[in-house]
Amino acid sequence: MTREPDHRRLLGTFVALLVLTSATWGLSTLPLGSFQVAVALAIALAKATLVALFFMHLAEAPRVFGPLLAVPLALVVIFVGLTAADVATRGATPGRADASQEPLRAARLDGSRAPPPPLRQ
Amino acid sequence: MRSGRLHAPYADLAQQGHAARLGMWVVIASEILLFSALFALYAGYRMAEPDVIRAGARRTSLGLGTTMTYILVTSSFFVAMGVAALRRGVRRACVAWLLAAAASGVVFLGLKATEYHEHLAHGLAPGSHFAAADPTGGGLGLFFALYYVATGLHALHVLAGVIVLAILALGVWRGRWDAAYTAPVELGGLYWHLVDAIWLFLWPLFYLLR
Amino acid sequence: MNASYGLKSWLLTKDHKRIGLLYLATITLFFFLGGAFATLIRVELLTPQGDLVSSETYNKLFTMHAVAMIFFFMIPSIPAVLGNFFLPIMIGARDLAFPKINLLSWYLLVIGGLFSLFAMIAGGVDTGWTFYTPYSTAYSNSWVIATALGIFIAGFSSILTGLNFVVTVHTMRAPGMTWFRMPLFVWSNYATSLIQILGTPVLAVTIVLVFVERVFHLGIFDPARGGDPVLFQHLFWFYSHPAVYIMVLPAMGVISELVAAFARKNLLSYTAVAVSTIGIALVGFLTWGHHMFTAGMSGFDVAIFGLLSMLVAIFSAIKVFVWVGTLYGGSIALEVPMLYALSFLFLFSVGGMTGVALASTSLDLHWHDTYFVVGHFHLIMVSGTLTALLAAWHYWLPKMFGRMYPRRVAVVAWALVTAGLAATFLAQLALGNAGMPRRYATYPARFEALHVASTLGSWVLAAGLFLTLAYLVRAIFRGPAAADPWGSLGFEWRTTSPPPAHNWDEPLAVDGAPHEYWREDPP
Repeated sequence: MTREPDHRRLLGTFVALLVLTSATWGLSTLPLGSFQVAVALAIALAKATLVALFFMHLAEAPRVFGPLLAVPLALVVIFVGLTAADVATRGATPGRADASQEPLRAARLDGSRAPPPPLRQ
Repeated sequence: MRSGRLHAPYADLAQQGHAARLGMWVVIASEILLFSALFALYAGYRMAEPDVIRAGARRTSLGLGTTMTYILVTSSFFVAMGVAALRRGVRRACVAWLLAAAASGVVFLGLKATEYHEHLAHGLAPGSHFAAADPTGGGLGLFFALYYVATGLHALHVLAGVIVLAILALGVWRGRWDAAYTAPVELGGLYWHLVDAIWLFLWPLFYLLR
Repeated sequence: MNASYGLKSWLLTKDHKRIGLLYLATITLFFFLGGAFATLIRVELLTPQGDLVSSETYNKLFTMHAVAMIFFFMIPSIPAVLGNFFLPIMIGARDLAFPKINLLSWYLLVIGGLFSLFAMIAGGVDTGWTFYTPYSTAYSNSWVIATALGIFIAGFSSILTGLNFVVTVHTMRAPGMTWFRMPLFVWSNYATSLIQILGTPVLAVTIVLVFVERVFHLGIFDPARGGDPVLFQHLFWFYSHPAVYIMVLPAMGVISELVAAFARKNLLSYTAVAVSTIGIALVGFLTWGHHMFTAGMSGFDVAIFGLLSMLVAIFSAIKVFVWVGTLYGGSIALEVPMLYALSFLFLFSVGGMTGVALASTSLDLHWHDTYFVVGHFHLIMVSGTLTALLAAWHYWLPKMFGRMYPRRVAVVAWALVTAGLAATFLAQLALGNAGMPRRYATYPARFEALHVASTLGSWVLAAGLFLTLAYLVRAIFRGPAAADPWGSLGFEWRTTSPPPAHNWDEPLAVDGAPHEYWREDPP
């Protein structure tokens, strides 16, 4: 039965997913520096695309399903991107002290982590 | 054709199936945005404190995490084969594939529980007492807070998926759905693939990028 | 619609029209609850001292006013009531795609509403509807979790309604009903549904994070534990800014229908309105940062969000120009729905243009968290959405119930509502520009005159709304019979009033776009 085209396609996708998973693991051991995140996420995206196209049959679905997946993904990129951009560019705001712009570091520098008062509710 | 499959207000099963599939893709779109909030939060903290997040990722179990990735990818394949079998009208094979996928999900949840247990044994419980013992001054606690929320939310989805797959397997076994109307099984399959796809992103973020 | 009677036939109904009416009862209740809180706020602000309520109670009042109004009135208002009732009819469908899910989403709203009501009765919540951290997670001693849980559950109601509408529009259109023949009210509900589907899950996760942070003290948003509260605001506003368009897009859809019906002209450009509707839905997702200009967000993001925010104004302005251009040269019938539509056009434009001003970051530094912002968004939400809702109820009352409202009384109520709205919120714009910050129970004496003006305006508004409630309820049960008083060419008017059980005794035959008045008298 594995000779049927549908099966061959599913099996091929499965093998590709296994290979890509192993590749992600392998690449994570290499000293890629800041490219590491990009490479890992690119492979994850490739794998998710394979799953969507062949396991979820997006490749043969009516045209309306494409935008239905593309629009949310674009929104995710914008959401994550602009949020990360905020944090990444905070120090660059002219005329503002660094410490007050970075709550994480500021909290660690001043060392006072008094627990907030207990809640009654 | 079995009666009781066609519901108001549809004219025929094809229209009903199309509406159901479209509805499922809408749910998928919604789920993507659900997890996107956690990705945005992760991105923000990774931008602020990359070293602390890396330090956090070094504390999770790469072996277990990678095993779980292989398991979910495999289970996704099982479900796809199950849907293909039902389309061909081989109900028995479909039931077997669906049950195999559900079993993989159970194994996944078991590994996840083992992992949580190990973290707790090492004092990596999130919350107020974490910060006191945290050499990075809160950063590691933040990593684990995100880790627990993200993987916990995902695990809840896996749990729901296992239940759905089991119900579908039972329904196919009893002949409730067959080659003439595969939409419910396809919908359950779509959901399971989504759960798999989300893990494909959680895995590098919380395990690999250390 | 009136095929069966009894409580059970209503509570277990799968008829989209009946579910719409269930929503109507629910949101009316929350509207008057939220209105009661608003009235208390305005009475407190009559004098500079805090003599009616304490500051703590005042904080609870404005929080609960917003929670009731936003999550349990405004968001479900037009989509869940009128969208539910008319969307299937307008596209010639027999029902929504998933009738059971439709009923479920009403129950979810009710359950969510009960949680929030419980929180209000048990002692209230004082964080502001925005639940800003770390106050909401580490300090507030009010019923944060119960309220948030209520909103969380109501959120799923919103997602499911959106899902139902999107699938219905895609799969249940009558033969001949192409996308660009759909009534504009359907377009606006479709766009709203997209926002509900894509935005609301982010709110759900944000609420979950507030919950786990408050219970387990994870520190995700707590600077004392290394967290970043500004990130909370990113998450919160990624939903809550698009939520503004959930509230206002359906209102725009109503106005598009009304302007065509009462000017007896097809819209100047149907396509421009349809496309700008989708445009607003998508661009609305790119502007959340303009709520955070002074919150410590980076200068880079401030600049980006300032620019993106102005894009929304372009799409909104396209609509306003099309409406005004349609009225020009039309044979306008000044019926009550049209009067409300004109109020909308005037007051919404003021609200919209102050929004453009607020998106300019340098001006926002002056106006941020002042009554200017309060006036701005109330002009959009109340003078925009509420006015459109009132217009829609008057327009569709004969369609929904086969009955007519008393016209003279309705004109009086319209005058009261419009005057009240203008006085209440234009005074707030002036207050904010003079420097009055929002969310204070007491204020310096120099702001007193404007506050008194705003409060007096709110009383006029309240009088108009109670009058409207009284005659509308009476009209629903005892009004004179009326089936089609306007001669509108909207598709919904082609079935009987009120519509039969499955909307159409004969299937809708679509031969063109709605409101093609040029067909009945050629130029």
